[in-house]
Amino acid sequence: MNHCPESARIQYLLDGELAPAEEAALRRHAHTCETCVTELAQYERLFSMLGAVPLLDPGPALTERILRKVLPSEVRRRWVRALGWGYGLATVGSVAGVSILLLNSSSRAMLATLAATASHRVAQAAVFVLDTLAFATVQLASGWGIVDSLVARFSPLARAIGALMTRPGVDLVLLTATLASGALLWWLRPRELRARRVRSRREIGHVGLLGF
Amino acid sequence: MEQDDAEIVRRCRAGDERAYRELVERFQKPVYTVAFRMLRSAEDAEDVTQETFVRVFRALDRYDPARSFEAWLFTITTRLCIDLLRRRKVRPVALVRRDVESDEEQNVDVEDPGLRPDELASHAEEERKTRSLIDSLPPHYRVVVVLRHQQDLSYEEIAEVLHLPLGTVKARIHRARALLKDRIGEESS
Repeated sequence: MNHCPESARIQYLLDGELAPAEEAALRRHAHTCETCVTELAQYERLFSMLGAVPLLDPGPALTERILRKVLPSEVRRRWVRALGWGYGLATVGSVAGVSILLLNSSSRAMLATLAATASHRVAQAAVFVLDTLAFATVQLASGWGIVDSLVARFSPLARAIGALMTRPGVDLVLLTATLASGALLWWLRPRELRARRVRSRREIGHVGLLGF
Repeated sequence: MEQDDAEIVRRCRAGDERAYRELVERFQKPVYTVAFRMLRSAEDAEDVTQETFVRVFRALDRYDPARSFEAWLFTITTRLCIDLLRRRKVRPVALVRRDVESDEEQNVDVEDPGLRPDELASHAEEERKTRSLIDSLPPHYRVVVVLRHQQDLSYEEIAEVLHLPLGTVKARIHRARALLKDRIGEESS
């Protein structure tokens, strides 16, 4: 077959890439050129064959498989299921661990020691924090002159009380009143409640801040 | 993008699960066909099809409706196929030899294992012949032929899908079809 330079444009013609005038010219040429008419027939057959090949069908099973992966409700269900399993396993593990600890006497003793130590440490930490806060407050108040101004404001009252206390009769009256108040408070003490508290305290080995 | 596709995508974004099904049913066959033609393994093609849709739905909020939905879909499909082929140690790009001076691609013939007989038994003879011809092409030619003739994508869309210059796409399609024409001629004679 002889080569015709126009045959290179036959694929463009079949793809619809040529302008109408160019297409008409090439078709007119193809009628008079043996090479081009053969090429055109061959390509037309090829295009027809390629266009006739149907799409492959993977079947509905794949559709369902894909939807199980992508549907928001399925995704949520998977998450909920995973969380449920995780929560269930964590609960079972925790219950089993606590049961083993409680059933074992040495573990119980170890837990009690641990709780006591923890309570002690927590109390220490709380005291430390309160101490630090108090110290910081006093430092700040001194820095701003609040303590000095309070001392200056209450100094006349302190001087008056001091002068009163130097008199002998006042001392005696104050001592008698204190003793009488103390005796009255002692007589008013909640005897039954106190006895019950003493009993219950004897029954509990240790009551810590953590509740053990 | 067709108006229907845009509407389905919009409904999917709104969380309509029936739209999810419509989208999968509409594009499952084209995606599977492209994947099967590139990979020539039903199992791998199914995996790639599934992964394509998983990625599409995951990225649907980021999808730009101004772009062709099909082109976007096939971009994901072909990338997944290429990744899989690379993992299989088959490098489709290596099958093309580029002439440094003329910048022309030259085809390198490779042995083609073809489809399994059981995969072809149920198809008509003409279809089988055409499919065999398509499958006999090197991967870089095969994919452009499938995208052009089975998915009806334009040259521009194929260039977008494969991230190739338009000229390269046109050249590959023309060479692939010339190869097919010659092979049909050889078989006929």
